[in-house]
Amino acid sequence: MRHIRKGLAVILTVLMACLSVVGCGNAPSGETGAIDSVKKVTTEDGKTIKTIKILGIDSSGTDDSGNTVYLSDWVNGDSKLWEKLTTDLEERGIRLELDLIPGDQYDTVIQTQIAAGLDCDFVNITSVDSSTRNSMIQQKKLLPINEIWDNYSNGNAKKYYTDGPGADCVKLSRQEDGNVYWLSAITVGDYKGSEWGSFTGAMIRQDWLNKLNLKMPQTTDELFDALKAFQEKDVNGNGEKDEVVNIGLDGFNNGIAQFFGLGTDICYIDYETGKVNSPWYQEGIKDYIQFMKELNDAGLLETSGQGDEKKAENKVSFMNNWMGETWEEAGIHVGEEEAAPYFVSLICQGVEGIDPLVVRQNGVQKGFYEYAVTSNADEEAIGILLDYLTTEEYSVLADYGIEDYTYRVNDEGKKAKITGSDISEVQIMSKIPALWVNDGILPRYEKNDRVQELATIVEAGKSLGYSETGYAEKAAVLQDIYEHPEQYHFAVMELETNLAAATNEEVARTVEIRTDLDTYYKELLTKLILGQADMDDWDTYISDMKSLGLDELISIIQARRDRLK
Amino acid sequence: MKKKKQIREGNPVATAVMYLLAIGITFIAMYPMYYVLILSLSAPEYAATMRVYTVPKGFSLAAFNALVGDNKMWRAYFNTIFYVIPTTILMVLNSTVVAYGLNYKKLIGRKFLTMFLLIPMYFSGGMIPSFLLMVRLGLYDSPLSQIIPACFSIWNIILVKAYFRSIPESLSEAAKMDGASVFQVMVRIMIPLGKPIFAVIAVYTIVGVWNSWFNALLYLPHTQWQPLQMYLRRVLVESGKELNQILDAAAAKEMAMRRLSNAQLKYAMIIFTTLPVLCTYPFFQKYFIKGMVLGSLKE
Repeated sequence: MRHIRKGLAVILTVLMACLSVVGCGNAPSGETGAIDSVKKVTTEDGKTIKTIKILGIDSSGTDDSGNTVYLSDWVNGDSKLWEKLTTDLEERGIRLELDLIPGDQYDTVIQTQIAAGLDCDFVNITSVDSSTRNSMIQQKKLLPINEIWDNYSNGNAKKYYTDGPGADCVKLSRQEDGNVYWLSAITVGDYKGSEWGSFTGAMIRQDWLNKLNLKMPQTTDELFDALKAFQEKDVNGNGEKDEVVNIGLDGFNNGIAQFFGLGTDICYIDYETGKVNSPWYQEGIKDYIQFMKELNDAGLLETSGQGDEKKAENKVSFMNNWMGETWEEAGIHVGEEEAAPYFVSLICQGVEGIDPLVVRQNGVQKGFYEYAVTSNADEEAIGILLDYLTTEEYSVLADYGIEDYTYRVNDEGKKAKITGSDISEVQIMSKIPALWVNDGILPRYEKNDRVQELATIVEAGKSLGYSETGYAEKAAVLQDIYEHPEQYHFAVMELETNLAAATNEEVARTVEIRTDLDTYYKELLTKLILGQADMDDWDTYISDMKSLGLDELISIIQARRDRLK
Repeated sequence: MKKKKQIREGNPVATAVMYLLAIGITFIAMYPMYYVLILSLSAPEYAATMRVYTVPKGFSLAAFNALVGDNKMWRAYFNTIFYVIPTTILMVLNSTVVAYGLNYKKLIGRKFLTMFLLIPMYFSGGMIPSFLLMVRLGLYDSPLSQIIPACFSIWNIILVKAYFRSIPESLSEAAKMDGASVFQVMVRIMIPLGKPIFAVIAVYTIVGVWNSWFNALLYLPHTQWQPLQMYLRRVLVESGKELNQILDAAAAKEMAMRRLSNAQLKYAMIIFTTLPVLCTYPFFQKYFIKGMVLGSLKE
């Protein structure tokens, strides 16, 4: 009996081991398991339809009821916008098959799927780091997109990327081998015939200035006095001296640094000259730190990490944001007797003889979100897709939607989005572009009429407490920049999207330098502002940053910038 | 001889101090939950400020109404329950069978097997090898990816093994003398006596599975089978993004609107997701205390 039991145990053990091996060996043919192999070609009514499989983010929008609506809701529901997109594509002989991943999860999914082997044709690679991208190029997992538009375009995409607005942006994506492996969104901003991008910058509570009969500050001294007055006179009326400036202290992209002519990152690009420099080497750096220290000593700086809550509590007097934004005010809770909140951008002079910087995008701006074509793709199908994406028809559909459904054309021929609709997707389109662009599944080719944009900014204020004037002063700041650019000095808004693609060595060295340098300078800047580090040791700090590779970093960035020429 | 002064049981001062201490500790433990509750019942503009300390301000059930009508939330709820029940049953079953086997003195290679189990408890393969394994097993994007890896715990096996060892061997010997087989000893003697440790393991597993989201983040790329905690995480992550770091004006605008509508919702979600697991504790309490002190005495 005992022998039988032992024998049975041995047989069971062997059987389990074999099953494990067989189970492990029976992996699905697609490396990622969940994704089935895709039919690239199907026939419908004698017409050949090619399928493009896209891995991207299930991006979302909020409708007027506060409901979050996802792209997958449009795809699986009865969205007229999605129907229009798919109909347009099917007419051209392609169909999209989507693998939509929630946005908060996408970074993890794309990294793990790259490790296991991508099996899509078109992929959102925004969150994939430069080293991984370069490895994918070397392993020939990504296709050169320029070869696709050279060989498979009907001429539309090729013209757009070689002679049209895309040409400048493509330069930024061109790799060492001369090829382009990813495309980004492209925004062409137009103000009365000249190209203009968006801006970020400092903004102050206009309603509080009005309440105290104060003028818009022109210098940082006047700014200090205004901020001090907000607190001392308890301008938010809650009985406490709690009106504060809510900006980042550990970096330079906070609006105030630009008043002293400082760039926005450890290195920045002067818009006019294209020269790369570091704020640490700029003339206004010590004055900036001194000013911030004074703000902190006067209790005017928010340092608790509760900036967003304080903003909602009507305690934030000053912040840094997109100039002309119209979305922050809605989240601020003011008393019933108080005027509606109203932030207006301001540009102050920090030091005599130093021009304040205005942080701007290019007139033709390469977008942040990037998309690549994998080696699984049918190049002809991708060529058709690119031809469609670069049409005026697609640009209008993605940004404005469908005429008389999501937008109307007024007497002047300008497109105006329809607001106040009962339909969820129309409500979403009244605020943002179609859900498939930006961080979604397809690039956006935006034509932004800045005149129309200014009108929209003014109009937004009419429903947010300023029924007569709207947000006229917000728009006026932007209009002045558009019309008198010679009076302003600009810095390029974002470093990485305005440089030529990095070589492998540049990627490795940049990562190596920035790992320690960023930690060092952010800690140092915070300590200097909070008075925890001594300005007398300035030379030591600069020497430390040099030894951590600051000068080499500037050289690398300058070299990447120069390659664009 | 002078008698030493000492606090006697029933001393009113000592009792009062103990009560105050107990109330203080209870308050510290309970208030965060209460705080989240009143925020979830306050109007979004007050919830966003977080300045609600005693009773809800601008009482509003809007977030709970929104949650009740949210099919995605209910689907995530169902998914979590779908993972909790089989995982708990399988965990108790696996732990029992393996622990009983490892306690069986005549088992050949018993020490080796114990060591073989202990090593991966301390040194796991890492995230990417685990991911590749799951892909090769065909579990990626499958609900089984949330059940199979979670229903086997070496730590729980060790707990059960230690508990079984504390049961007098004479009981098993007596059963064997009465003709019970090895299997019968497990079913008739060990399992009935092991209820406290099974309760502990069950609670550990229920709480663990209920709160888990990382496996879903890795292995479930689509929302269809994602558990409740992934849903909650999504709401919280979206509320925590820095708007001026978003490199697109339209995206920043969308995020600002989302944050406002999520201000109350995230607290309601926390209440919604926490309550069921809190309710499980009383049912296991009597076993739980007994199981927790396991191993504190050596006989």
